[in-house]
Amino acid sequence: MALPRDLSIGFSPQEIQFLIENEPIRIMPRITTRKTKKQLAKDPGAQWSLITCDDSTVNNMVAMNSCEVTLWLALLLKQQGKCNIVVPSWLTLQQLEKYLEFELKNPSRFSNLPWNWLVVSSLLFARCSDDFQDPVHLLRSKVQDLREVRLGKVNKGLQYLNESHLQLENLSLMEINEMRPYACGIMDKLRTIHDSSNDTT
Amino acid sequence: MSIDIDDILAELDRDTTAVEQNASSYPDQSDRTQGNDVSQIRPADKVVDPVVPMQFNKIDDYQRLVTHWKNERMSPELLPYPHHLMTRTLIRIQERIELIETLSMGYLEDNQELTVDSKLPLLCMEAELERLKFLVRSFIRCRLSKIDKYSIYLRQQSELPNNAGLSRLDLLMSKEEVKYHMKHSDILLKLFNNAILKHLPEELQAVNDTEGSISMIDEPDWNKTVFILVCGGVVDESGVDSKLTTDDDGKPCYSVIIEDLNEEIYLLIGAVYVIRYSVIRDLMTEGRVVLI
Repeated sequence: MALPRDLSIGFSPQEIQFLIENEPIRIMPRITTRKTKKQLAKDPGAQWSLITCDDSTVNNMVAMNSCEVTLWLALLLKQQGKCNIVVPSWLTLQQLEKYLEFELKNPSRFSNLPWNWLVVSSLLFARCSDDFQDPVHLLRSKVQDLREVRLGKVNKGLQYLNESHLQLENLSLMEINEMRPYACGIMDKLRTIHDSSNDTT
Repeated sequence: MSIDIDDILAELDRDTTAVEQNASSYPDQSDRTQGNDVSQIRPADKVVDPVVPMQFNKIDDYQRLVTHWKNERMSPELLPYPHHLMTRTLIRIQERIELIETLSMGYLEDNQELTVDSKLPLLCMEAELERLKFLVRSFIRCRLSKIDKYSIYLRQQSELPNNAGLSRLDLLMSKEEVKYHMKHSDILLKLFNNAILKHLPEELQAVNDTEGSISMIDEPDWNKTVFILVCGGVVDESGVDSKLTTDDDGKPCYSVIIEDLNEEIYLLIGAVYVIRYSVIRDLMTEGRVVLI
């Protein structure tokens, strides 16, 4: 088939990452791309022109003035050593601790972490570990704790699968994608059983 | 309300010879939401910057392509092909390839100090192009696999008298996809006929038999379970969403009814649901919910 079978039931983790790399993030550029009118007249130089995102911000970067760009661009610049990534405010020890506390206090609810938290945290840990204020190994273990607590809740929530519908609150894209094949399969089967029992009566 | 921007597209098309104009007069649902401001912005933009057409629109276009891709990947049926959107995207990709080539030629000629700094925009542009190409490729491949799967069903649909024949197929698929659909099912049919079917009794030779114990036509599973994100935000002329209601707590939501179970569900804006496809199909085509 034109599409591999494992891709037809859900997204691959790489595709989830692709989707999330389209979201904006704040960076501290280390290069200046903004040009004065004089410079522009003398030598326009290499201009950025992007077709999928806003190119005016990258053309107006001033070193150490924070600006917002898409995540994939930020990672590319970081790889070249041209910027520092400003870590999102939820990715600090203090904030993660609050989330964890909430998770432990409310066994039936998920805390409102941003819906890209798993991907963003793993990307940032891998690619810009020097930009964090807090020690990365502590952050990593906190994220791991959160992940495990939430996984436990997801597993517990699976008992509520039914033939009509389900509402999920604050579940991240990656977590949804993980439970998709199982949840969809079970709900499809439950529905078939329900329908056929209705037909006979 | 569909805004006709064919003349603008045609004018753009004259500059780029390589891209075939295949969306002539198809109404395109996906263009409805943003259609209004496109027509207002376009003429001025074209004069200012002929190299990068549709500058005001490109980010929206990309976002819409991503949405189309997500919906196509997760929906059980083949969704209508976004003709205008794809034409614009293909034109942009073509222009981008040319621009990158011209720029890298410039680097070769100047032969000055090639610092990393001056190469950086080029690097990013190439990376971006690859991302966009991946998206388009994945989108098309997903559609092709669905065309494979439902080829007999699609053929049967296009032959129904009330569907006005082939015009429906044209709306649903691009020219190339129609060609693929026709050729591929012909080849497959020939293989089946030569290998097995011609040895069977005549009444068992049809490949689209629905009378027997099992229907041979694979129809999309309309009740497949899908994950949706309710995004809302589609407003009509008067600035309100006509389908929006409020639930018991007064929060804005859409109300849908599952007929088999006789159950009413409120879909809150911004929430994620696991629900059967047939229930939310209309909301999805209108762009009020997105499959994830």
